[in-house]
Amino acid sequence: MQIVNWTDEQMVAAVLRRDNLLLERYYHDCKAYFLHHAAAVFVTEAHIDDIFQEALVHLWREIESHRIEMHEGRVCRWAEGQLLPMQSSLLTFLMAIAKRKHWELLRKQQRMLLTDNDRMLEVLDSDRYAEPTDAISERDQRERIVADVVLGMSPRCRQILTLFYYEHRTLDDILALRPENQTKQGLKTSKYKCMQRLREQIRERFHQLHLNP
Amino acid sequence: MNTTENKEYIYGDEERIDALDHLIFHEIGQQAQWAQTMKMWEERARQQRRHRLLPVLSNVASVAALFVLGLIVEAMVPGIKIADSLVDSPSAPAVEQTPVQPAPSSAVTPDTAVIGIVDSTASPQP
Repeated sequence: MQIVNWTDEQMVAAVLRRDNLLLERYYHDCKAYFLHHAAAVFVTEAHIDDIFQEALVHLWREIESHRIEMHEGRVCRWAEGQLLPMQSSLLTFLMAIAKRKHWELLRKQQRMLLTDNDRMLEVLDSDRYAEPTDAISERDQRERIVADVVLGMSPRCRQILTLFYYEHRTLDDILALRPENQTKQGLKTSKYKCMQRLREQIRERFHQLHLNP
Repeated sequence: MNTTENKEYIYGDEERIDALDHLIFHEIGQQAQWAQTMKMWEERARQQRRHRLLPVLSNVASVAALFVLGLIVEAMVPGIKIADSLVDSPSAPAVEQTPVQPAPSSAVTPDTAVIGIVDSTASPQP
């Protein structure tokens, strides 16, 4: 099964234009493809819808933050400190993101270990922040790092931080929505730890690249 | 930029927010917006599927209602058969084929046609 009538270039352009009409169609085509291949890729069907959405948000944020962009007529990704042509299609890349998210979920749920020899994971791991070049400004570099770290945070942290900082929900509201947190103090601690983890990871990346925090 | 010097109090009294945090919040917001948009698309697709399914379900319900009505009428009026004709049931008795009746003698048959031809070409008898 193939997604016909769509090229990677068109998708990149549609995301940058925020062409919601086009992106909605792409979303459904892409999901049909995803569900068709899900049985071969995923061990369990639980949370498949969530994984798909998270993976697609991940991909589209990479495009929006110009970590993936068109360069000299080719789809390139920021890796090893420079824009390199992508080795895989965006669809393969999407499946790799989904697979990583799936394994992260399983690892948390079942304490399973990630397999290092997985080719799909290599696709993602090939992206490294090395020394910044003159190609992008320091500000852009910082934003890309922030985007990357926030994209990689756990679903639990994402939910708590989104509810609190984006939807401006109170801790009591969040507590009602998340039965996993027993007490308000526990929730507050979780939120604090999530933010701390993000800050630490981002600062570490900044430090590696000699960027000002 | 020294982050420790540019802190401000927002989002409650227990937490300090700095420039890096603002970058984080912005990114969380961007990602949340995409997630919301996708949920909206999902909901729209679900509604469209429901709208497509509704007429089909309505038709099925109508046929079922007619069938039940037929059963009720059958139970009330002995000898009448209604429900069987509403569904194509394999248990229903096969409809008997009515044999084709032979044509009336006045109709032209191949034999008579041949006879007619023979008669018309024959020479008149004295």
